[in-house]
Amino acid sequence: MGQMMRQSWRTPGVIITCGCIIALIGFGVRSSFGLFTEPLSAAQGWNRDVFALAIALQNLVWGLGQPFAGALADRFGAARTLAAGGVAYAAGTALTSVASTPVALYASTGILLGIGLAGASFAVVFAAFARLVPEERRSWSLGLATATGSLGQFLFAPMGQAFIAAYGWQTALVLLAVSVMAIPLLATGLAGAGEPRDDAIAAANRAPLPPVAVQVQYAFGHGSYVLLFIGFFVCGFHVAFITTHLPPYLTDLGAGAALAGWAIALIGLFNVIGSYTAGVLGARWRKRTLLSGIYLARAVAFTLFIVLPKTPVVVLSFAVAMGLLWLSTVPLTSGLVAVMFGPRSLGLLFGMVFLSHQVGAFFGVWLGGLIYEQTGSYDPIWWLSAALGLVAAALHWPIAERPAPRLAGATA
Amino acid sequence: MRPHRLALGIVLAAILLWLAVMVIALRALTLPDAAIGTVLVVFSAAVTDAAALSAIVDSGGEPIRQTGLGAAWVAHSVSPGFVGQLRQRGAIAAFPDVPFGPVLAGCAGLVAGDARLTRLLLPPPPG
Repeated sequence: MGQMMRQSWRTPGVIITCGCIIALIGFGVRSSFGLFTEPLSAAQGWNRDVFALAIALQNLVWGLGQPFAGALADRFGAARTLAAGGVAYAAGTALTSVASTPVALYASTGILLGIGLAGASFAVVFAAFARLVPEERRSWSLGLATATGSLGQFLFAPMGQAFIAAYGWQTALVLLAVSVMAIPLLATGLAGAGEPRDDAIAAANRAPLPPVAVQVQYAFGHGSYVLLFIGFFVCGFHVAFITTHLPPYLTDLGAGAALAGWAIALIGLFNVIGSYTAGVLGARWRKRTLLSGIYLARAVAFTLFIVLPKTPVVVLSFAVAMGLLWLSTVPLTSGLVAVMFGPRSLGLLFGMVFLSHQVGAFFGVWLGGLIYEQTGSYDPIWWLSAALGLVAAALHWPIAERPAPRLAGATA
Repeated sequence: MRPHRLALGIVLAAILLWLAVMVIALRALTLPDAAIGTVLVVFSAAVTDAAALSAIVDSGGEPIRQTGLGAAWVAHSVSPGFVGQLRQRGAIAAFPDVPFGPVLAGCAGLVAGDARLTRLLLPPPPG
């Protein structure tokens, strides 16, 4: 650590602080977009499906764009990618406030913001950390970035609500865009990613970077990466299903708005703790074992939640458990990708895994609604979630936590 | 570098900055004394539920519900100067009845309650 960045203001502390604040803003602002559905739709006289389609388009562009943004970060540096992504993110947010036609909304909120989110995402921050932070601190830094991103979700939602109420939805969007403009400034703290002083990292970063297609081919030829890719699908499924369907589920049970609100708050709060802890533990124990344990614990939590009476204690205990297990998979999954293929390929290859996550998220949201509409109950999808948790736990167990054979010489 | 200390510093700095921004936004949201209608009224945490209820009723209002925070109530009145009356009876502040609350977002930042996306992806209802 001491060797790193000896003559630069970009100390490890600065690098990690800048990256974490980028994750906080990027995650936080994105999580407040749902708040604009009603005021924006009402002001423009649109059905809510117009805004919903723009958000769906945004998720699609983001998911598909993430591997490309990761590849750009690997090749040209995370700082440039984050800066460009931050500008697109801010522009898309600001332009949403003046989009007066559905097409303009799809272009700004959907496409431009989707591109911006891919470029300024935590996946690109991870790529920077993997290249700049020594290996013994890598898992911790990935956990911290995930935790601060989670904190951003927790903090920005009430702020967005206050902005909308105090200044109107259009000014609120502009204010959020201004906060996003901090991302390009903060990205300067992550510049110089190709020339760190730490010898081990420098060696890894100097390794020749094969073409994107070759890297992807290598990765999917490696069984452990395929297991990780499939396993992260389950994470997306769980998180998106609960995010979308837990509040109506609790309402159906007659839990009351206050209990539902506290349950959501507890998930958000314990998510910060769980993400950070996962990063810390990932530096000490095998990441694949921890991931198996997390998915197994999710399966147990789902099962208990299904079979136990939904008393306030059970609901809140489930919220605490899910909070601890919420994004705790992220630092471990990204850390495993770095172990297998080295820090230089993390942007692209974690981007690919993230795409699998987004596909899982799509099915979690969709199947949750579809099964509820067809059966009138969320129980089948809760059971499916528990079963998928077991499958994911089994998938992660045999993962080989070591450099992939063909790229072994290029890793740190 | 002390990792846990750095982590704590980042989190505390973010929360302090957030608090500062929220104070500014909430000051802009504070209702004037003459305001009427449905309001979110905040009492000191030391005020009992009975005292808060009594303050709302004595101000000419009707309590609608207590929020999850306990000391904050949603109340309604069309009596002129309702908010001013509440302040005279110990309310710290009154805001429009805005839907403050936490949201749940996953890796994709998809917000809970955004079930419209589900509706969009579902086949149209028969008939």
